[in-house]
Amino acid sequence: MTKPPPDAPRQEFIDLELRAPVKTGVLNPLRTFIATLARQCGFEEAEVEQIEMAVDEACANVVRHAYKHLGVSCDLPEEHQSKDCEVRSSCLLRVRVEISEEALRVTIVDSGIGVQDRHSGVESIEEYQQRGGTGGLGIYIIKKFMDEVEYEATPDSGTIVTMTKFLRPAPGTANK
Amino acid sequence: MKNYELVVHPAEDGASMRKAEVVGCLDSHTVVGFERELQSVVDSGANVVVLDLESLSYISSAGISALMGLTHRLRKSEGELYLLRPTEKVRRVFRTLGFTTIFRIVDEEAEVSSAQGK
Repeated sequence: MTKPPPDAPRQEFIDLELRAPVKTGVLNPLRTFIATLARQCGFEEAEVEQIEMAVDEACANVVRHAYKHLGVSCDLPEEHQSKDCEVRSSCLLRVRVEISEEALRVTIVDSGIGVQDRHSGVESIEEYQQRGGTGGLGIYIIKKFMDEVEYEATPDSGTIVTMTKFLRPAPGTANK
Repeated sequence: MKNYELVVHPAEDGASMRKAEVVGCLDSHTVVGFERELQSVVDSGANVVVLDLESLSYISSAGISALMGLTHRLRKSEGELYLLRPTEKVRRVFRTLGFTTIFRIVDEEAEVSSAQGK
């Protein structure tokens, strides 16, 4: 995105939050939601795609890993899935989007197992290949496509992933 | 557009090459069906698979991992997975992440026959 020149109308600060059940079926609408917001605040299409993919990967991690210990995960076979409606409805994914003149910030919050290890992605595509092409790519994508990424994992209390994409200054307005 | 569909072309008699088209998204929601359907293509005797990505609107790490897995399995049997005409969006993802040197990406089906020495 190109940051507007100083005399342009100020971008209104936007702070939105939505909650979704922990199901893979929510990923597509969440991508549409985030891509629409990113596009509206002026990010270039390639940047919109990167934000969309980074958010998708973080949300997919929640759907796959955060509540696995409770029997709520798309990775579990049917017989190991929790049938307890109360448990299932308590497993939520929260997505907060903050848009300012400087950046778009997305925070993904779960109240799951909060294990730090699941955030250790590969450092390179070579490492991903060496691992046999299984695991770690999602975190690599998040770090590569966003400008800042922070993880805060608390055992048994959940994980907060905050990712930020900064707006680039308009040509000729950058601070030297 | 549908969220996901895999259209597998019928096998020609005795041919080890199969073609399929992916329509929609390859993400954590759709990848399980995609892997299952493609595995049945490989199990039917194909060791060269041409996957048309012209109508693939989105791919996530789950989709990429599925393509990696299939690539490895086919190469073990001296076969290959060819990715035909990916959309610019998908191509950008492959390029930015460094997968253009791992996957065999082609723009024309004729390149497959040529690479297979036919």
